Amino acid sequence: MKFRTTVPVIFLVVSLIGPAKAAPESRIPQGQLLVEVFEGLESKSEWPVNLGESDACFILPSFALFALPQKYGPLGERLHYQAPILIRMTGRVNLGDHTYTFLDRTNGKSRLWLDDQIISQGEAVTESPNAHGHMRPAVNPESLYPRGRLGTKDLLTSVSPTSGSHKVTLECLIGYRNKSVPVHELLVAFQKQQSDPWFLLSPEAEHPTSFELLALSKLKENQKSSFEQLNQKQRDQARKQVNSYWNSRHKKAKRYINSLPLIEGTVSRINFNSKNVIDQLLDIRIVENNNSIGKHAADNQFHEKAWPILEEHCIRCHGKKAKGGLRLDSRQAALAGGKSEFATLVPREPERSELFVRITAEDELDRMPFEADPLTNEQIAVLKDWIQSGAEWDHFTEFVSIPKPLDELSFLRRIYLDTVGVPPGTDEIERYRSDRRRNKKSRLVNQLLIDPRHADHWVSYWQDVLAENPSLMKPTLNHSGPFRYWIHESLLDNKPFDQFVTELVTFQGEAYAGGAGGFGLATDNDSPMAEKAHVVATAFLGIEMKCARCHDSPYHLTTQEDLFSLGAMLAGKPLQVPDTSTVPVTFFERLNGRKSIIQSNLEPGTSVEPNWPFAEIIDESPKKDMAFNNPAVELAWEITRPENRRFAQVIVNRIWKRYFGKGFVEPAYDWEGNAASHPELLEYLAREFVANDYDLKHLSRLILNSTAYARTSINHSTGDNRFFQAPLRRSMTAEQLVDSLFSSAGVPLFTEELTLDVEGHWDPEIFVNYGFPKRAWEFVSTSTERERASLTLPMVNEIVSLMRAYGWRPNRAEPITDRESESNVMQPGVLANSSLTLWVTGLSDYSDLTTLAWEIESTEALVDQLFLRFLTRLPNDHEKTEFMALLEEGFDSRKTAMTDGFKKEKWIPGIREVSWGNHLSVEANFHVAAKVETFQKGPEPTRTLKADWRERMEDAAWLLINTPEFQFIP
Amino acid sequence: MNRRKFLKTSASGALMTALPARLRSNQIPKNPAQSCIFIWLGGGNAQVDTWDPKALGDPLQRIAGSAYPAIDTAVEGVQVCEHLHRTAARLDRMTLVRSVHHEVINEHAAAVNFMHTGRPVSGTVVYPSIGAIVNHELGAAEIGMPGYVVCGPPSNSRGAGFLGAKYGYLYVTDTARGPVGFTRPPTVSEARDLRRQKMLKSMRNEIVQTIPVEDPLLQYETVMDTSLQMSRGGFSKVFQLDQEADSLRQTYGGEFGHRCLLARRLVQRGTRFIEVLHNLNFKNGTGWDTHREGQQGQHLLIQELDTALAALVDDLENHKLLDSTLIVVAGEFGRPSSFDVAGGRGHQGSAFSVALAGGGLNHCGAYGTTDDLSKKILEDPVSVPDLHATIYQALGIESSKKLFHNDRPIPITNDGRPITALIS
Repeated sequence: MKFRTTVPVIFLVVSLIGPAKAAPESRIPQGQLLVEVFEGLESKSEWPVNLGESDACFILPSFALFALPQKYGPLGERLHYQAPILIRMTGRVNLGDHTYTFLDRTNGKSRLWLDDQIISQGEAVTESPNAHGHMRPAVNPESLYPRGRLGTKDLLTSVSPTSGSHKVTLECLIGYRNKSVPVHELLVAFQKQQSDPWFLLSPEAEHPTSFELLALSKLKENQKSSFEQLNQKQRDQARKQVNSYWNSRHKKAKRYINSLPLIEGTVSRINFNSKNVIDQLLDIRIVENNNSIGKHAADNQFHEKAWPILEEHCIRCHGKKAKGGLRLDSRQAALAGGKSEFATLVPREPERSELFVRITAEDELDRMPFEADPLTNEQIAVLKDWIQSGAEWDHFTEFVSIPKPLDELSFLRRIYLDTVGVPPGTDEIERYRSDRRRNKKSRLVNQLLIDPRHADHWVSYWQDVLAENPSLMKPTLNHSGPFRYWIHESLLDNKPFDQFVTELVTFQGEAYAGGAGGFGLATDNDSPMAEKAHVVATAFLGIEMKCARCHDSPYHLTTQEDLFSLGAMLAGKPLQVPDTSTVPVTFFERLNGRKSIIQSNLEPGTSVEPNWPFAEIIDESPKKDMAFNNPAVELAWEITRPENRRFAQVIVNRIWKRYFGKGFVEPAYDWEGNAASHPELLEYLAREFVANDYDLKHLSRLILNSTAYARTSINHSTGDNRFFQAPLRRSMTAEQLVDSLFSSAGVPLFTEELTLDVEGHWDPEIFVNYGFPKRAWEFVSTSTERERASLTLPMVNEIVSLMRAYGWRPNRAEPITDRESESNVMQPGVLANSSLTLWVTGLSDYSDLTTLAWEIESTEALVDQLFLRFLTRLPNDHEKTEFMALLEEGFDSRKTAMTDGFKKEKWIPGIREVSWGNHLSVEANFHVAAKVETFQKGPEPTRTLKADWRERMEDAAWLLINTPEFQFIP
Repeated sequence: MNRRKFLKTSASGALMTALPARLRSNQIPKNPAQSCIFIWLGGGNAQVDTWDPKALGDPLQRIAGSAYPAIDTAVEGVQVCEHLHRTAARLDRMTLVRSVHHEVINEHAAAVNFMHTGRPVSGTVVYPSIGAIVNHELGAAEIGMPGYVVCGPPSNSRGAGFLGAKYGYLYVTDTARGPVGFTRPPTVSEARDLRRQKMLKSMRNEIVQTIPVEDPLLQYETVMDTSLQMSRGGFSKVFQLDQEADSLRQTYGGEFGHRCLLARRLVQRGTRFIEVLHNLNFKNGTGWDTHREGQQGQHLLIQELDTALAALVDDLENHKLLDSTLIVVAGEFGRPSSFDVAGGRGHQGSAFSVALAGGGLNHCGAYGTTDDLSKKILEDPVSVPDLHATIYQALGIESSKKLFHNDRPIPITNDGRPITALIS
């Protein structure tokens, strides 16, 4: 499928040039070259004849191509280029009257033309073997140019042109296993004379790029960011096609919202024209609570002790479900009892209260809670005491005091972490502090929300909620495709959320090209669509159907049929219940005649029709009057239409929870039977969301500008009672921690290339290439369950290892909203002793800390700068004294005579020699073991500072990242 | 007052007698094993070249069969391949379960996962691995020690799943370097480390005094102390293998042997489950995954295993720990007796062997039989859940136990029945 639509040619930098025709070079601007891509060719071994128009073309400054721009479909969905492809680079270069040596480096069948002559040609590189290959011979130390990537070939040609302008064309035909079309390193370089330095061939002759690692690395990065702009343009262009559709939907949504009556309970109490509606609505509840405090008894046994036990162990059956006719969620219900002839609750007489008898029953068949561990002795004692003292049912609440507003620097740290996922740099701190404008805070909020790092920060949230679970290779363990890239682009583009959900559930974009099609995969799962139905319901509707996979939910109203109907909608056709999604017969046999808590209503093999199962639970509006030809599209509409109030509220709740630590409804993924703490506020924000194009940033803006958000954090909220007088104290997520470590230290995050197939000869469905990650969300588990040492990527492993210790899931087979938050012993251990800490705190030539150490004038100023960098505050007196003492010794003579000044260097990844193709060779094992050992020593320290003092400075950084304050958000 | 049993019916009695004898046995041994050392042969070892030898084949001629001749062992009628001669002499304290099988596709990741969790991957819950379950049920026998340690790289299949991270493992990838996260890097001197820990303590004290008592930061604070104790105290010292006699370390052999020695020390200090990976493929490149040319160096691996395993059995016995330590030697699957194009072997899950040693079991040398080609199981098939049930039972954990994930009861194995002949 050609992705070129009406405007095919895209400029590298700004403007567009016309459609590609037969003689493209006549339109190439001076000093540039044209790159054309032809896809879907007939053969990967024969040069195509009669090529028509190219499928994509763009401009480059020199004969060096490291990747292709992303290919998109008409709706902006991510696609693969269709194998095999031909890449043609054409430009006019000025050559002199010399004998040049040209080098062309390609990874496919190649031809190099000078004017109309083929001066060099070669066959495709041999396909990389399946693991049992060998490493290539060591690099020639005499070589004047860097070695090519695995999978490339170099051809050298001697050329003696006449002086003047010549047309040079490089062609490369690329295609390997199945869909693989790797484009990693296509270049032409030249050397004027033997032992002269090499340069990249370029139409622009003034400042040729050196053909050496550093220059190549810089060029590659520039190209990458140019392509990111190009990709952005393509998506913007594609979105224009669908804009009118979404605009009209959003207009209708706004009209719908405006037609609704005022939110109940708010008439005359809330000024909706004021900026702080959120604060008004929060304040109402706080005031109400505080006014009612005086009436409660001092000692509240029930709320603090007895109720939590009932809530956790009894309500799931004796709440809404009313098993045995008994409800225990109110005193009245408990006293009324259930179907049993025995009184459930007899105040002051535990021995006569059936509740007490059952929790102390010896026989498993009689004992409550049913089918669970018995209550502990302490818990039984609490309930006994409570009944003995009269079984009062008081939900006591404490006086809610309003915390102070955060000081400016703490606020800055919090809001940066909450929006862009890293603390502010010292320059950003300075800029904000010196800003004297009255509305500087709201300006800052706006600025942060459009910062591209905001998108980075939110990817991980949706990875968890949508169970994005790709593998590095051979995905067989419930893996999805890598649709993180679609998530990231959607966030960068601030895609309206209804559009986001629609693209997700209609699986747009190729699964292994990073499109939302990847959401449709759950490899080796017995029913992927049932799986995805579970994800969709928890993510967007607050309906938990995890249990309904194999049987009707015992504690919820949803049935197995509900889950499979939803799954069938996603599948676009009827869905069969697999044998493996039922409870085995032996389970029921083992009950020995007891009635089972679960029932299995669907026979394996039953075919379930696509059907929207939540019309009763959610729908408040009249039946729809639209027809859909595709159940998945219908599903998208049912979820995102403005009348689906639940959807808007669930999303609002999620966003709110992320900033405040808890939602109005808990848990955020399961709303059944759980009332909202602030129904009016929830409704207000839901309406704002729907009436404003389902814009997530609009919600964030409202929340981040509230007074409540800017207050000192509170440490806990008592059970059900949430007042949101301030955000809850939170610790950094694993991703925030990694990104913050690197950004605070000013060390660039560079690892090995995150792939096991360096040559790129394998089908992208079997080996995924994650590129060079820059932010934490880009990482993936390196566990391939083969534990082969030769496949180790030490730098990637370090980062993944830290994240794992902090709750990042290496395998996201199931969707979650809340990660594990309990501290564990690995965490301080990793921060104190890992190679990652050496990497980040080491004063290498790549670190801003080294620049700082070099340029700073006094230890006092240095300590201030360090505290600002790492903790976004200045040191107190005690800290200042201690740190100055640490750094004073040797400070004045810290610089060595090595150089006149310090210049920060760029870290360049090394050339990978071990790939899947050769990893089983013995030498590969030794090679990688050596790399691991080198890495574990830490980065090479700068020689511009004396070792002893340098270590003191490194220790200062170590202290600031190991102090618990670093990882807790103010 | 007589409470009636509301829910029982009379049909239950009839059901009980219909079940096979193995199902009824739920006995916990009188003296259950206290720990388990789970030796993992990453890649899947060929049973006909190790525990279940058959007639000699020929890799070059591609005639199916064992690659090496078999030898007698300490148990009459039971043979093993010739490269396992040390283990052969100790076979009276072992049982080679030759009839293990699974129907998971013969792909490494899926098979590794299945061997550890006993269940296919589901999208609704992440199942814990056997080590995490043992850790959850028994916990470390000593304070300050972890209940579950992995000697090898971290892996998704070995985690604690829904049980939660606190039942997960600590790990060591290089025995010389010590447990990951608990040993200071070699480039940092002890003096320097002490200096900065002291300053950190001073900073921490200030924080503790100024923040409110319910601040979650304080929970992290506590964990910092535990971690430091582990770095400095008994836990860290367990890893100092140079405390053992040189001669003993030499008996164990290279890095793999050192991992086994470390496992013995961890057992002594109360760790319940130690998984020891044999995954360093310097000897033959492929490790136990002996496709193609990998087969050529396989005997070196087997010898390495033999040396370490025999040393471990002896060492445990000398410390009077063999009866209380169950050793399991397994891989993700076995391999066919036929050879591939380059003289190596592919994968086979339909019949393979797992070796058990020590643990107070009623050892009988070998259990279960396969046909001449070790392709089909003839007697006493043992599923992976059955294998897990056997291990749990040996450790005194009832194999009928239920774990809980929120409200959902999840049996500890997926219908596994322990091998009653082995449990006394």
